[in-house]
Amino acid sequence: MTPSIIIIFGCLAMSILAIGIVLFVIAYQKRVLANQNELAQAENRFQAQLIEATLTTEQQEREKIARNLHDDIGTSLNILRLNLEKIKRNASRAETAEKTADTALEMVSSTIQNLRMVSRDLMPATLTKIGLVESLDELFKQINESGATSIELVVPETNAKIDNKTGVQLYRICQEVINNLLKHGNASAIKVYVTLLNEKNFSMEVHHNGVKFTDDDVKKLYDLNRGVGLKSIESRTRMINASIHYKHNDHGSIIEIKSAQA
Amino acid sequence: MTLETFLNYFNRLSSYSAVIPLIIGIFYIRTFNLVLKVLFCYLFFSFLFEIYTIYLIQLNQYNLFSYYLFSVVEFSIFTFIYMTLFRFKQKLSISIIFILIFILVAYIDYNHINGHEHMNELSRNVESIILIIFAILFFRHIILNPLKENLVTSYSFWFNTAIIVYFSGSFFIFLFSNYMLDKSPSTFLAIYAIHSFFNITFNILLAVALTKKTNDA
Repeated sequence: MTPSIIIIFGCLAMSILAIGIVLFVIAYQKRVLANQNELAQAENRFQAQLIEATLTTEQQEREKIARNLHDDIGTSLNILRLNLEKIKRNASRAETAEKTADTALEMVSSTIQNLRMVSRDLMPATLTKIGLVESLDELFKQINESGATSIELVVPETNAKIDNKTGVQLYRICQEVINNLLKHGNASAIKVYVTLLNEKNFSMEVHHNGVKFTDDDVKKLYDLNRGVGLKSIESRTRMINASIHYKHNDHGSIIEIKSAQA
Repeated sequence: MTLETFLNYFNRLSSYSAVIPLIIGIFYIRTFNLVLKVLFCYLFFSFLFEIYTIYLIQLNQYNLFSYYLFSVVEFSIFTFIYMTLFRFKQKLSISIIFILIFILVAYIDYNHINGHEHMNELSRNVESIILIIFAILFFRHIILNPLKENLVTSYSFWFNTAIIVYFSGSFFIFLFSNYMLDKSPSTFLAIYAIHSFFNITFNILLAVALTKKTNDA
């Protein structure tokens, strides 16, 4: 083979190689851009689902409050009015009036109790007054008293305090997680570990013996456009710049919620 | 028109093609960043060199020393551009190290290997190899740090393509340049036409680079 032939074939081979590299890089970059677009679109879709879930949950809460107001407090006040009318009518008959007054007083007490429940649903009074840990403690006491499950709160000693906004969201997340575990998870024992680091940072782990549930299961539900409660939790978690993971190991299942810097 | 005449015209056209990016550059000069300004300086220098070479050929004179000088300037400019594109903080220091090494290679080539009567085969080949490596590394850099917009809208992509296509395509010609000088004029013309083709491609690709946006590097 003469050097002239070597030069011609060499030039040809090298230029083909160079063009091949260029084309490969173009194709690769196109694929990366396409993937990025797809990811961005998926993220947008997911964000839309989260917003929808938040709105749905909010609507459900409003409906619940409206129902409570109408069914419990409204009914109680109606009965109370009837009782007061009866007292007025029977003012001359002391015995009947006293009996009716007792019923009315009972009704007032019951209404106050119902009103407290509605108020707690809207915003737990303890949360702003005495803080997140005490509010969770009170919530868990009520759940334990109902006998639905055994729930324990574990909080290491700390001087750190979480800010109000984060605390409210964390409380709601915990409420929704426990609600899900009772409703769908059949958990009979739940242990909640809360570690407060500073105003914005915390970690919360919910250990339970209920149905095995992992991140993959969550993703499957999302793909089927289901799990409104889970999406609401996810949305609240993002609001406080935290992440949530569902894990399972030999000892049971863990729901882990951590702020970005925890 | 004989093949020889055609090749002569083609090779001459290749020399004149240096004016294409220069004219395009004049239109876009206001949008240039540091890299494109340096590239434009190279194009101006390259254009002057082509004029000088054509002038010498018309006088039937050859000044092979000027090729050594051209290689050093070309290598220095392209090395600085790559160091800037790689976003090295010490781009000037690294460029100087590479340039000093290359000047040493060119010196050895001129004084001990090819001398003033031969083409600067060694320094040209070292330059080609280093620039091809830079070009491949830059593509790797693009793959690892993908641009947010389409690659073909980036000047750095076109510049890099120009370098890899020209220096890869012409590599074997640089490797055998002294062999070609000893051959018959017809063989030299035919093989040199390959270089001319890559040179025209190089100038067109650089012209495209000068028209692109400058916000990615």
